[in-house]
Amino acid sequence: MAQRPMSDRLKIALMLGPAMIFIGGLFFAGLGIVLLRSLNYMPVISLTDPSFDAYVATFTTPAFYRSLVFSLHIAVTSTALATVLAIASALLLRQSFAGRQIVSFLFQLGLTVPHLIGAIGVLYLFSQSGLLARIAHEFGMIDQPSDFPALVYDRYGIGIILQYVWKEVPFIGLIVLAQMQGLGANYEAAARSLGATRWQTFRHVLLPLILPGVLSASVMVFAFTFGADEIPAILGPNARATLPVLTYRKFTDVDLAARPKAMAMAVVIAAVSAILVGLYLWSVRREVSWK
Amino acid sequence: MKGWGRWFRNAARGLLILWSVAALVPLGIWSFARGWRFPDVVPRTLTLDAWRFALSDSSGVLGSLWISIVISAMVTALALIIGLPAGRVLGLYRFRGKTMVEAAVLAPLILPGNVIALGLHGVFLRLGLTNSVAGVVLVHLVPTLPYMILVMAGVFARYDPAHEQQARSLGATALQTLWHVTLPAILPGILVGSLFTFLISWSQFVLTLMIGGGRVTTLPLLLYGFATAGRNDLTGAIAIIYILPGILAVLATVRHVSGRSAAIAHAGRA
Amino acid sequence: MTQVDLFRLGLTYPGRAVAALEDLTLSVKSGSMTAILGPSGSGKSTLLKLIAGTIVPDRGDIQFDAGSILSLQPEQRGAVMVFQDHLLFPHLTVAGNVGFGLRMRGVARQQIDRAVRDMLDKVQMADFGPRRAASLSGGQQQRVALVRALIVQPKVLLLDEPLSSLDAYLRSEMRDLIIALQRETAVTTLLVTHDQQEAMIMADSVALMMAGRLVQHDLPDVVFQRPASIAAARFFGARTFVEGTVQAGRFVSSLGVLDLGASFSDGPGILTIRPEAVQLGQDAENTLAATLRSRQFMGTQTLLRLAVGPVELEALVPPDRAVGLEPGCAVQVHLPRPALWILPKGTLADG
Repeated sequence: MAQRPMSDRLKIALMLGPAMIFIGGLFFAGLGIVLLRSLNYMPVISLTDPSFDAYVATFTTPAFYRSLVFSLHIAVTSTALATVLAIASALLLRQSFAGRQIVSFLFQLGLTVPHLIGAIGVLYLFSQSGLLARIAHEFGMIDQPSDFPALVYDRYGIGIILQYVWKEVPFIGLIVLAQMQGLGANYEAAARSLGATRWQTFRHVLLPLILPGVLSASVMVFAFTFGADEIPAILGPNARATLPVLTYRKFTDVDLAARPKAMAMAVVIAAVSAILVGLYLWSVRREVSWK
Repeated sequence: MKGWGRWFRNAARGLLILWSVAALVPLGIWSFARGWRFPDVVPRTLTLDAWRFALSDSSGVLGSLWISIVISAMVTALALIIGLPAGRVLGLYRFRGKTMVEAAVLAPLILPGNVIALGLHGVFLRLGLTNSVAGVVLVHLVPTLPYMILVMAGVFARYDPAHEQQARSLGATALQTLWHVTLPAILPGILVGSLFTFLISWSQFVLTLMIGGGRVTTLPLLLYGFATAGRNDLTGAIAIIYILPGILAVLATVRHVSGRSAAIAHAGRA
Repeated sequence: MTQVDLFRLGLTYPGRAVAALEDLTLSVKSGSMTAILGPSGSGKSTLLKLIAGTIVPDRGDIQFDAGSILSLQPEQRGAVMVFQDHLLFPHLTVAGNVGFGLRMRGVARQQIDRAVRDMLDKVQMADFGPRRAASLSGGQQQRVALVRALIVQPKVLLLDEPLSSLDAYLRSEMRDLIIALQRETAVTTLLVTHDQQEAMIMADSVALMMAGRLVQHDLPDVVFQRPASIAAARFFGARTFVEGTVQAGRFVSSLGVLDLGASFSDGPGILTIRPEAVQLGQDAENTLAATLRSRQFMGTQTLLRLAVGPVELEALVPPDRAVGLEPGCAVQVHLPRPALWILPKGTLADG
């Protein structure tokens, strides 16, 4: 051989380097800047006096807590509903039945549909003059649009939750389905033959076995539904903003002094996601030692 | 008892189908409607006007389509070039600090991208990258690059590098080995990874808006404009055009979806 | 103690042209250990799943003590299956696994704990209760799977290839344990295996299955020495089949005239003999002149391929008896009367 083969260490560094530079230069730099600016510290633009003022201002604003609670409500409800429905869907889809391919295809359809489209679709479907309201009118259940319950732009975030559930059920569902297929049916057959009923088998065997995968998918869904801002911006009420929407409003405020506050809220959003993921990883390491 | 259970399951499957397409149906109907007012369940007049206008030069749809394609293609190519070697390392090697690297790759997939964009906005502004295609491409790499790395790491975790050693021992050069042995083995993974990386970039809205400043009007930005202007018919038509690549992607991969479902599902994070 | 009867069971998996099980009738004596023996794909495991209730037959009936169980849910049947890959629940401890069935029946905690201890004691694993299932060796997992099934005092125990995932040296140990536990509990046991030796050693009776059908059900030695078809004979290692005619206790074929000893009905038939039954040398009857074609040393035995006229004959002999025999040399072989078996004519096709 003409040249000596590269050492593994050099090879690893060369192959990993560009990716790390890009992730570092984009993701971690972005995160770092958010953190620094939330502390009002940015020597490059001659902000050399770090302070917690933005945090103090944020944590003493009632609006912040209202938004935080609203965001948590949306994230918790969406994630819980999506998880339960996803497990039910996976149970329905895993057996073979006539037309399974078509049903699976339609089930997956929502996955690749961008959230923006899902939001507009939910709007056209659930608004007071939307398709459902019209069908309700057709059956004589309502007389005019205002009789139809407010499911979008509503103060409980129902429209937002509906959209998230619509989008995330296939996401969690496919992960659960893959897990079920990986497990096969034999664990359940073993449980049944040992005397477990259908429900006991699900409760004591299948559910614990798929739980790790379900949890990891749910954590991702929670982080997304907590942190994303386009759906609440489109389907949420004007009077109540989720934390990301409030953050974006502060960021685009004409008053530049509001920016550090926006950054502080962004840090809170990131911190909630990070803490959640941390908790999840910690519990997984403790619980899933059998894996 | 048994018949009842079957009936229940079939009814539930029917509901599942309805629910799965529910949000898309009104969009489809709107795209063919003229003046579809409450309380009509179906439009009184069906028309191709919205489609005709959407596909004409004056609507700007074709221009936005082109920009979207260019951006997503560039993002995919960059993510592949950078992500493929990194995925190989993560899939095949054990080394000190690997857990750290994996965490660094996973973090951008979980932390919300809009938070990151808040920080990047100022830097991009200074570098003259805001309001530019280049800036949008770069910010799209935040969610796509880690995804591509993960997919490629998965591909290489199932790949046996002994094939390469075998090829080298049979007299193939490093380049010949790459071309004749490695690439054919990982090609399906590359295709699927690229397809869904493209789709993640394709569905970006907030990141494009924040860094592109509304000047880089990809398809979703144009669509959002029509939606807020109350042009439901045009919104419907553009929405159909916009979701078409995703539907085709699912169609193309639906057969082996069980194994790849997780990878495909990740595209849902878009 | 439960008698198991299968009546004309039939099953075709959806989308398959060939039936997985066809017209299978089998009676398993109460308290016996019956081996379901056959090559892979013969429908053995399907049969177990039908009895366990995991799948439902298209045709036929399954009865425990003369009562049909087809309408019962799997958990109501009392037929417990032990899978070949053990399938210990990975999220439970060893004790959790063993006690699973009792817990599902709502048995009190203390009672479960006591029963689990007793059971683990029986298989010398008393200290393993708190361990995770995945931390056990293959043999230990198999033992846990076995007592997990026995603790619920099943009517019928269904063992699916219980030894096939074990190392050779663990096998005999596990085999003896299963036999001992089965004797002790006298639970009616169906043992699915593809290993004829395993079936011969463990079972009171052997049911040979091929291509979804029951070929033969009898005592182990009968099934082994008196195969019902060419396929069955081949499965047990016979390689020599000669067409001919039975005439008054003699078999007339291209091998000449052989004295059968036992009584077979007159008419066309196929003679078979197991290779290890073929003897070198001369005897009073059934001695043939053969030419050695090839010789293959196989360790404990030597395989000789012999030509007797147009017929090829295989013989397994002790290696020392084959010393000095070179291909091409003439040898004398004799076929002992008890080792000769006549298959009814017309079964040549199914081999």
